[in-house]
Amino acid sequence: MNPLRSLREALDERVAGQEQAKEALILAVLARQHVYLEGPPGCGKSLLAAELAHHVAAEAVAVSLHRDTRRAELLGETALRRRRVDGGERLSEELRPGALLTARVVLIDDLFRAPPTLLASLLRLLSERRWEGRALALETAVATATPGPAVSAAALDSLLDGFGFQIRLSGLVAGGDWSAARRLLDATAAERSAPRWTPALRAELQQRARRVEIGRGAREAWWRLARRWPDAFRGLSDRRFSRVLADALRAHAFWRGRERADAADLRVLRYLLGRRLDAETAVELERSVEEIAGELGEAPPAGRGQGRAKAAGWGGSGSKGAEPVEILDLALPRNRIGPSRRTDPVDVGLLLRALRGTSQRGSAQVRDDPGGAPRQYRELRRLDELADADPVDAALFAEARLPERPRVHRRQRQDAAGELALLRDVSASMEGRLHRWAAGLADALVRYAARRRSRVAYVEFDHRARRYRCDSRFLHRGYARLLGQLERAEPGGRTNYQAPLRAALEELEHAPGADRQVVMLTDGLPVAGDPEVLSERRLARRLGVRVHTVFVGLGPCPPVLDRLSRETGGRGFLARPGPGGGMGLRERPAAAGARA
Amino acid sequence: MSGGALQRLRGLLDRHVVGHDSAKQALLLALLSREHVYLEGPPGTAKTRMAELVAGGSGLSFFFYQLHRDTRMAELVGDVVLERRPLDEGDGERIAQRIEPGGVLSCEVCVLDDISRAPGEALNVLLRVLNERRFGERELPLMTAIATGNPVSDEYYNEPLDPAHLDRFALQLRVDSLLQADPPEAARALLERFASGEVREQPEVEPVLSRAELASLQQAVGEVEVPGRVKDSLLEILRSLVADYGCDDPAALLTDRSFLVKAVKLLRGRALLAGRRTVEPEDLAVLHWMTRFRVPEAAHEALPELIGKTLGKRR
Ligand SMILES: Nc1ncnc2c1ncn2[C@@H]1O[C@H](COP(=O)(O)OP(=O)(O)O)[C@@H](O)[C@H]1O
Ligand SMILES: [Mg+2]
Repeated sequence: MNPLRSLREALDERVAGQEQAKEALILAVLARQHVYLEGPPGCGKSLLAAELAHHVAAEAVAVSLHRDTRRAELLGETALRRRRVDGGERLSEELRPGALLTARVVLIDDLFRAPPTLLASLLRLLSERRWEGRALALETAVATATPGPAVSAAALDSLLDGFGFQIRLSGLVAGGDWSAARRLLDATAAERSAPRWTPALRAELQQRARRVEIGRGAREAWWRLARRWPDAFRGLSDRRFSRVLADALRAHAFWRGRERADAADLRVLRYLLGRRLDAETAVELERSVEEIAGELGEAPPAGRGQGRAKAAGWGGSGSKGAEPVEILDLALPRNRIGPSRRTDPVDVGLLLRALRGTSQRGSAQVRDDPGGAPRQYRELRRLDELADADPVDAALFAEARLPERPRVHRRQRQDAAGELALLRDVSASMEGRLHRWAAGLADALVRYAARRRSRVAYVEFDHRARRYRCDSRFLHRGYARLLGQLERAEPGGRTNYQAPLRAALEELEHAPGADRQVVMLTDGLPVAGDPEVLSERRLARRLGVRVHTVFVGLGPCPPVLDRLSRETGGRGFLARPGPGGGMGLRERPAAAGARA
Repeated sequence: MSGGALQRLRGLLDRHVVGHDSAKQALLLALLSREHVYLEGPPGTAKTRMAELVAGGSGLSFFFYQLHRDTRMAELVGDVVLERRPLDEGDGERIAQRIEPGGVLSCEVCVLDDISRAPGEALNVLLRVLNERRFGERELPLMTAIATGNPVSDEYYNEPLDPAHLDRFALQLRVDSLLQADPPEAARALLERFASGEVREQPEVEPVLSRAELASLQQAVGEVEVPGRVKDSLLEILRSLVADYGCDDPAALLTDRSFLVKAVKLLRGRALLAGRRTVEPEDLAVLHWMTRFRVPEAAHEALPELIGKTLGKRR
């Protein structure tokens, strides 16, 4: 029997439906590509991956990622080796290659559970397929994930670029595949049958797939599609557009039993673009393939192409409010942070304590870092850590009198934490002393953020809001440049609360992380925009963003500021002349009201 | 002179990589003038591939390292070993920790892939070593370091590189996606390249030039003449960057080392690449490969025009 058909049937034995995923996985094995499977929990992603590995007879390794996954679990542990050398003894370390370095197929469950930095290096390893100059045996990695983290689409594209194939599945019920749902209901727990392929067969099939030619029609269609669908292709790197697509076309043609790929084989694009395409575009793209194949006189293949690109709620993002928001870039130069040049000392301790107090509930994390402070002991893992070992342990160890390894300091550092958006009123009423105070408060907040390496966003507002970017990012660590801008701000215009809040919340909406705070500095009553900022209050609550408000000046504080802070779990302050004539900061009790 | 040697290396790059003309030229220039080069761009734009090709094709000993979050200095410089030996006299023992040099300490070309991923501490030391080309007592045989990196599109997964770090790379360029580029011809060529099946990628690259050829070229760079008027133009351009484009901040990276010493070397290299023994004003275009991460974006973008204006005035 045709080994491809046989493999396909084997996958049907224990997994109902998910036709596209099955086809994609088989093609990925043929083309030696990695696959990213995104879908809701319980739709058979991991099961399918495991079945595949079993039936293609690959030495597979499954890794389950979790919050504390260590690099060594993936790459292997280092071992110390004692050896006699002429008259003396030599101690060196060597790596015992772990799962990832030896397996041919790797199944990675729950990709985004891994700590972000580990994830980044894991993905890099997969895409480079080499480690310390050595090529890995790895052919195909299949990673499953529930929808990705809240990072920008471009960041996700770049992060996942190593996965040649990227598809999205939905459950049978949610996706409306009722016949497969029925089969699943009827299914009796089937035993797994014997592997359908042998390693030698796998290698042979891969080789034959690689020898498929790509015909003129396919090339022309490939190009026309790219020109016709620039947005869909935007998610492809040059590598995926060229090399990966070429190999995918070959595998697809081979899978259809041909020695030459034609225009219709571009159907395979759905497996490259699946993660990003919404259902409609997917269908249209497919139609486009057929159309182009027709134009080129290459008929679409019979029987296939009834592509049901069903996707669960991937609705477009809501339309943005038409607020008067301007986008500006922070001016250079990117110098270092100098000492504060403020002449009015501003005591902002109260405000900083409020920020810190809330942030401890958040995600401020401590992570291992060789440059960090010693916090506790752990076992020595590498010889070069000896310098950091407990001296007594180290001496005993060197003399081979210590049965285990010496203890070394575990150095840790507070991880960069949180996002802070600073909204500063520069309307005309903010002049003279008030302007200086607001500048002083802003200055202190930015320095505070710099110490904690929190990212900052800055919005200046009067009746309009001006969002400042640093190297085209709103949330950034360009503290020095921001401090420069604080100095430059000029008072003018009237006051609008809605525009700056909307501007900041929209930014934070796309920023990951649990510790997101806004500090709004103002002296005025809102005369433009919604004075009650109703939808912004709602948005802040939904996002879990705390909005602190500081009312600078002598008049009464508008009650909406109290409401804003109270509802979002933020704090409210008044900046008034203190005893010495300088600024005095105190808390507004009305803002603290009925906080949970 | 074996200008043909460079042609061969360029041919190797062109055989394997479509487009990216500036990056290719900059890589050759780096090798020729023994400077370091940094390529930044989105994933999958052949940065690593080009670096590999230059390293392998130049016939020099090379070290390839992919940096990651836990990169330690020891992995870059060799293996750490601990030795215990009885003392020659008396009955004591001597315990010594030492490094068996490897990695960047013993190679001639090193490829540091993805430097944006390395922790600040290791990077700091590493880049200092690259810059000084010595490690402790040891002088490195290193000629050129080629580093690649991704633009930081999300700091959740990446830490931004300190611009001061990037100053260690005389040449610094951005590599953009061909698919997103405006005239689409290059993307079409890329497609054809992979569709044709001509290119089979093997990790091993055959050297296309000999050590002696490279050495004589490197020597020839030093002999290229730099006319006074080109030096004057260089100063005028720098003056305008400082005065008109806000590059006067002490922390801005218009350092004397880069722009008065290395720039001249690169000018010579560029002339030699073009087969000349004298630097021409057009060679000042190399400045554009030096400023990407050293001056504000606006100044960098305006540079070609500024160079054009300066040369026009002189004419
Ligand atoms: N311009 C190009 N010419 C030839 N091959 C390319 C080109 N761009 C991308 N590729 C393909 O993509 C692969 C990945 O490139 P790589 O060097 O790893 O990218 P980067 O280091 O920029 O992430 C290359 O090995 C090659 O197969
Ligand atoms: Mg790379």
